Amino acid sequence: MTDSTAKKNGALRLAELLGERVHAMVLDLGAIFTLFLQVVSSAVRPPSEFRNIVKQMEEVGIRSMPVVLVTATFTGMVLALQSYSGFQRFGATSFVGSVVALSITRELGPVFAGLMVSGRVGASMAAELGTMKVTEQIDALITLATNPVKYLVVPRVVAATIVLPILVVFADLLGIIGGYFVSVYLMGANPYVYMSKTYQYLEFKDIYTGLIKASVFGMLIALISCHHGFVAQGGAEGVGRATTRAVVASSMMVLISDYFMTSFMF
Amino acid sequence: MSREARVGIFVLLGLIVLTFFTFRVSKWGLIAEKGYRLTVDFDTASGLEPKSDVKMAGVPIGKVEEIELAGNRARLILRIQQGIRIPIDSVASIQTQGLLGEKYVEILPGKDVQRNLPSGGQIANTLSPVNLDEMVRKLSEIGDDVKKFTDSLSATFGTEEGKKALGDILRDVAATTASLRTVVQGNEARIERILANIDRLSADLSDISAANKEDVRATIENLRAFSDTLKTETPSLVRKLEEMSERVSNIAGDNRENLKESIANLKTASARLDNTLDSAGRVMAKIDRGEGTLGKLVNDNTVANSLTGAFDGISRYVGKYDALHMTLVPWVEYQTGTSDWKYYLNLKMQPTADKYYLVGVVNDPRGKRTDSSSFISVGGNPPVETRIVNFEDDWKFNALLAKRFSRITVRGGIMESAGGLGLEYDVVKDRFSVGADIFDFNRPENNRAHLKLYGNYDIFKNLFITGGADDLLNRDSAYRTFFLGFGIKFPDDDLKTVIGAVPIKP
Repeated sequence: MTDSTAKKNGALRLAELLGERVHAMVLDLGAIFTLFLQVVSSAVRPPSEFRNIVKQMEEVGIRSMPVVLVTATFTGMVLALQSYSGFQRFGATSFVGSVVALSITRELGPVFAGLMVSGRVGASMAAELGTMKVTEQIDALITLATNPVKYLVVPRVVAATIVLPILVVFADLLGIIGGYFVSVYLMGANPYVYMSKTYQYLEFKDIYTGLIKASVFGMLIALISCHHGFVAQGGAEGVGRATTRAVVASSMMVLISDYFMTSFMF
Repeated sequence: MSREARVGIFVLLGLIVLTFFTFRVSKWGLIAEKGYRLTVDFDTASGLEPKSDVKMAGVPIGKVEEIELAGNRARLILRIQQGIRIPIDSVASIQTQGLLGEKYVEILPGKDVQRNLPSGGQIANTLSPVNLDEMVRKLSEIGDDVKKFTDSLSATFGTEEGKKALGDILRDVAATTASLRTVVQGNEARIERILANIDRLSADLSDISAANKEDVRATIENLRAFSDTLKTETPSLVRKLEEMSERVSNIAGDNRENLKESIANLKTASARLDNTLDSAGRVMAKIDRGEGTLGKLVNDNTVANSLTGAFDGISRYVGKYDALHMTLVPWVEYQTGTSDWKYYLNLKMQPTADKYYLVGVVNDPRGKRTDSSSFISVGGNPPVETRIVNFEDDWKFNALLAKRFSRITVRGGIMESAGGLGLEYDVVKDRFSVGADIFDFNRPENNRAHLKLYGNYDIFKNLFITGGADDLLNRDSAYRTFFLGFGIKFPDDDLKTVIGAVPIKP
């Protein structure tokens, strides 16, 4: 009898745990959506945060360039290597260029750029805002009649939304160049054929869907990171937790939203 | 550099790269397409794709923009670069780069360079693309011919005889020329003399004819007189000929009756032939109209259909029969409980991979059970009932239907002469399986059904070992037993031929 009660309690505990998690997740999503609405409504109101936006663009864009470009180059290189060894088996090596270009522009460029930015910038945003939160600087802003969302979140979200597609354009270029170098200099592909194949099957649609995705990734990363920074509590430890959560949540969100956007725009 | 400047440069660079991409890749892009359009129709555009090249003299001058169906021909819309002029009588053809490479449209420029195709015009002259298969077929035909020729050549000269003959000929020729040479060399003087004589002779002849001109003239005169005589004499000659022919006709007249008969015979023969042909024509007409058995056969589609159906059925049946895999599986099990052997012989018939039938016989050492009770009284005590259970071996048979769902096989039917069900699970595909059979639900003495758990492991393709526990549910522990055994699988094709007569429902 006692055994079965314990069992029941165990099962209930499991259900409770699940419920708590789902509840917390729904709360988080709701808070992020509210933050998004606040950002939109305060972004269109004067005064403009132009200087702040430029500052964040430098932070998110220029500072992320090296890591994004190195990632993209090596992605393109390894893609060329892999597809070459695959296509060699049925004698279609001339299509390596097309495959590299399509994969990079449609998928890998935006996603890797998004992941890199979420790791680099998402962490820093969450840490920055989290520290301000636990040291009550945000409360100070409110007492100074400054809207913390407008002052802190809007520049970050706007900057990330604008800058990520630009990063992806560079990532596309470097990825294709990386694939070109591996194919032509390592695998001995014909450079003219490689380039003509690259452009032959690439369409403008492939590039702009990648850029739209990147833009959404940027917005999601900034929103999620700022949210986790805003809700941080409990001193330095809380800031650390918020940072971790921000990075994990924004990376996952990049991949999940990527699937849905791709299936919409396919 | 100020922060604004850095960001500005960053954004600008991004836009430049994007613009570069746009210009390089765009099919429609943001800018209008350059060049002008031409259309051309082909019987087939197989192998061509949009964006395939259009070339003139091997130089790319545009791209294939669209491929669509016009009627039942392929219509290509070509985008030709601005400034390229294509004469109106040019010929378009689909070519292949190399033997198996990419296809492209080649334009052979025409002669009429004064008139060029306008934008939107159509290239009227096309060459059908060379069908590679046809080409290869023709080439192989040519190759065959060449081979035949060389074969006969080699048959003639390749043999020892031929070589010898050839050698003889060459030797003869050599000998002839050699002797000719010696003749000429040895008789040079004489030949010169002969030639000189001939020279002289012709000179003499010319002298004679000059000197005897008059005589020649007289000879010709004589000839003319002769032809004149002939002319006057001809009527009499003709008369003589007439007489002769009359005599011949008299001879024919004597045999006139015979000739007549012959001709009459010929006539009747040709009439008969006429009749025969007539009736043949009538038969053909009948067949054509679909009358009679033959006519039905020839004209009626249902006959053909039913024939096709019949053939289909036969081929399906044969296919089924071919697909039917038969395996003869004998095995033995040593039962530890009774220290006895149990023998099995099963025939597994598998028409499809997910289904099989199993028929077989089992020799069960405990097949037949006889119970006897006896009361024995020992030393005045009340009698004690002693029950003796005797087993004899007995033949039982199996007839099962099995269906396979992925790794699980469900089977049922008659197991050891009683209704039963079984479940088998492939742990390692085609190698190791475990299963449970439950059968004989209606046993004497209210006993529970016969449950058998087993595992089969294929050591080789044809040899397997088995082991497990038998009759687990039995109340009487004497029945419960472990067993171990082995068996052989004969995937016997000859078996099939032997049981070929067994009808299988298609």
